[in-house]
Amino acid sequence: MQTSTLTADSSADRSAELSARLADRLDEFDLPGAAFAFARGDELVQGAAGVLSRTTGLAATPDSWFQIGSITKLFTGTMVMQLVDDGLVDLDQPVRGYLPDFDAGDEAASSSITVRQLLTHTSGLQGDYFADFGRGSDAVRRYVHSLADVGMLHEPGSRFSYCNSGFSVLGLLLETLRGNDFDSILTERLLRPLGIAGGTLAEQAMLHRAAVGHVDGPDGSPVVPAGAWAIPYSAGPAGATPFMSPAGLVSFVRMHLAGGLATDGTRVLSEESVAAMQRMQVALPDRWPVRGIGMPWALYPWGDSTVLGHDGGTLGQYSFLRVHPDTGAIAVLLTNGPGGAAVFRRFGQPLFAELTGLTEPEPLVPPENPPAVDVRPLVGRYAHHGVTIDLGVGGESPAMDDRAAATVTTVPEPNQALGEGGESQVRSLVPLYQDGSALALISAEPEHGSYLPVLADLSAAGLTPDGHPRHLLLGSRVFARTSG
Amino acid sequence: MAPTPQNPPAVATTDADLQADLQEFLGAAAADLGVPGAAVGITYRGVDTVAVTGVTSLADPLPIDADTLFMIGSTSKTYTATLAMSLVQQGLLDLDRPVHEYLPDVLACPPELREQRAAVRVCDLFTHTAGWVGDVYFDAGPGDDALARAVHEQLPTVPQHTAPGNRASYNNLSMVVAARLVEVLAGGSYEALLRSRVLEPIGLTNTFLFPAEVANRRHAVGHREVAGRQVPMPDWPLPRCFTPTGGVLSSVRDQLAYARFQLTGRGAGDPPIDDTTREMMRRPRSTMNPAQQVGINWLLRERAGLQLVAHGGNVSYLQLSAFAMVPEAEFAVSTLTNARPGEKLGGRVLDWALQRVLGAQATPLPTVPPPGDLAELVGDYGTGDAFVAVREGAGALTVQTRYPAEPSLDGPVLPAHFIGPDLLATNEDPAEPGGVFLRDADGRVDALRWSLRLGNRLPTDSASPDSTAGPGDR
Repeated sequence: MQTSTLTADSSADRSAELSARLADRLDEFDLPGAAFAFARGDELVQGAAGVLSRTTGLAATPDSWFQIGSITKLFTGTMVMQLVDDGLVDLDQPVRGYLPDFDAGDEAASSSITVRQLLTHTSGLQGDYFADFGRGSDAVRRYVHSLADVGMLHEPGSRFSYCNSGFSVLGLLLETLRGNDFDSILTERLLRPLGIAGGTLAEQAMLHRAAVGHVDGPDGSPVVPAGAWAIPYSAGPAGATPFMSPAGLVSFVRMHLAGGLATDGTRVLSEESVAAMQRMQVALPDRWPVRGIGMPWALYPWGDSTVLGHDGGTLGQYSFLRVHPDTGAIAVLLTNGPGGAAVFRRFGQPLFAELTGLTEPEPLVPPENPPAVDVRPLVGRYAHHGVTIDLGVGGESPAMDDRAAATVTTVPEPNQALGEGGESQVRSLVPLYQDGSALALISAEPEHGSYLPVLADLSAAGLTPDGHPRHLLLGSRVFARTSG
Repeated sequence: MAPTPQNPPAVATTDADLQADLQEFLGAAAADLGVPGAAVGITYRGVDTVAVTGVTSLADPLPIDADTLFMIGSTSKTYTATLAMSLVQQGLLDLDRPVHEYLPDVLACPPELREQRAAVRVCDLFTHTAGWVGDVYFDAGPGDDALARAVHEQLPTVPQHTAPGNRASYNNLSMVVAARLVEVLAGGSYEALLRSRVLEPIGLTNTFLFPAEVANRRHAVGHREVAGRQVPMPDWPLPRCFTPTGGVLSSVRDQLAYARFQLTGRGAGDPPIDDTTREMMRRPRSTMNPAQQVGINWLLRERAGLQLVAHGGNVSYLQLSAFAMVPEAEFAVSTLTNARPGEKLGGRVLDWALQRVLGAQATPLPTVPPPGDLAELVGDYGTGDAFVAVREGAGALTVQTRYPAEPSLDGPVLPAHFIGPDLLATNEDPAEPGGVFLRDADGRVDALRWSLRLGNRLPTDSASPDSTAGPGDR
């Protein structure tokens, strides 16, 4: 790909060429279909390959709608910053100031969690609590009220743990201050001003060309359409429901790159808020796939540069967005199967690297010669809402890898809202690094092409009186120690 | 008349000849009428035959197959009735009691309506005799409270069209009320109750009630004619509160399974209603015209010398369907389509199937001379959101259905002929009555029931033979 221009010959040729390249990757990674958009400045090339559903065989097209999943959090974040622009919200005030009934099941936390903490995944709410409160306009409110029975994961502001529930709280903040339901606010404040076709409801999607999520088939067989259309509606502000085409996401990002202006010159967001959203608010551990978190842009390390973006995942639809503000380059890949992540790495990332002149991030992999570390303090049980993990030392499990220092057994509770059965999973962990009091491990085997890093804080502040870490960070989620 | 089946085969086989003939007929008829996609099923003495044609959507075409989901429209009402009758059978619901005894909200209305509302019995909801205006549109939201809100917020605002228990007039709103009644008595949402009490016991695994259940399955998209071409319409036509009256989504295969249950009582599990209840639902209770009665809430029609137990569906002229059974022959035919001309297709398929399978021929009803004074019949007859315009020209009458709020839906001007005193038919379907004039105690024509809807005669100052604007949407 020439880096001088996206549309070297004609955008139609470019689209066909890239779509053909994508089609090859679909076969390689058992991905039913995908649509992409690459943009830089005013240039835009779009394309698609494969099918929207393996049941119907309807072909994916550039204007097909895909669920964007957690990329929605950027929309929710933008709309919260619009509240800041309007003088309706102060990021550092407790959210309870705006939602007097807010109750996270812990009085101290309920009265101290700030809007900023919700935007940066540092509130300490149990982030993966999903529950079905129906399709009514009261779903988000009922969900947030139910948080009182769920309890906290960690002290507000003390650490980062990816937090879906916090975005439903922000959704309720929007609904309360705007006096409308989340879907209507999204439509009026972003989709319509930015000319984005799409929506949030199945009945909107189903009469258009819309992708269906796919999940792993039984016993390693090819992926099959998911049994349900979407994650419960109450998680809409976290990304359960919105869908659009890749070009729709490009329109959204172009507004951010234009300092908050829509293409017709309408101001959608202030320049200050655009910049604030992109600034790193929370740093993630060394060598983590994400360097840090804005509000709530993810900041990815590409060589020495930082790339903005977000990923999303719903019931079988996986989405990827990368943005390089310096060059104005945007990459969007929307997919309908778990192979999407690998296809993004092999198809999307190299193109984005050419477009920006940046170096692709090195994938985080187990070291060939793992350092010698002592993992025994980590042994024990940890929990995040709906999931318990047991960490044991190497050799205790039959699933051991020779190099393994530890095993981690993940036991999810069956989750009716997500249609998940609760099968436990055993992973071998090998040491990644020990840097002062930070001890990092990584899974020995890849899942859909990537490895799971695990971090323990062995500093005095991070340890229990008995010398065990109070928390483990698995990927982007904190697990709190429950055994002594 | 077809012979009564003695020992229907226990295991369904296929009738290859019938399938080939049906496929040929359907393909030609759908092409002739310009229907983008259709699925037809015939079940006869336990043998199912299915033919399909066309595509789900002309914009995003997928071939229709036997499992493609269509909106079955008002045939949904018979599902709601079956659910309600399961409560009757259990002794939870009495068809002869006033509705307000179960749903006090029915009386939360303007004082002048209260007496009539108090007289509406449960069975009036199913026989189209509640008397309130039946064609009203509102959106009570997508939540579990949709039906409760519809009854609480909307019903009090709906005027009474005619006295309860008297003149039948097709009534969508009554099914909304009936479904709410079921929720209150059985506890739970209508959709959950229908699934657990009707769909699952019958074995209707490919029948759905929510868009989110259908979005990731193959489904038809409704079309509308724009500038001479059928164009898929992108908007979902029915808010949740109308699911009990027209929102069920089903495949032609599931339509045949539903027909088999209604014909024989056979299903996957314990039947939701017993044989006595099933047969009671087909007994006439109210009258639309001399050849058409209403049971609970089956439409009972005479055609081709047969007694049909039938319904049909029309979702905003987007998805049109027809469903007809001949119980004594253990026969049923279902036609599902995704455009307005699908209504005619359903009629043609029915007549073809009655002839081909049962040897019964639908023939035009004999005409009688028109009455001397046609002028007393001329006028506009308001049904709620529409009116029927009756005009005289060259010694004959014409009839046209008009929608003042949406003139694009206006029907054609149809020449009508008499098949009996005050009884009309048109060449659209000369084998069944099209409408009947009704007279007050003094013998003056005060209403026209056209098709299934009662049109009250409107004051003459609003009726002028050549006006194009009708009375406003009430």
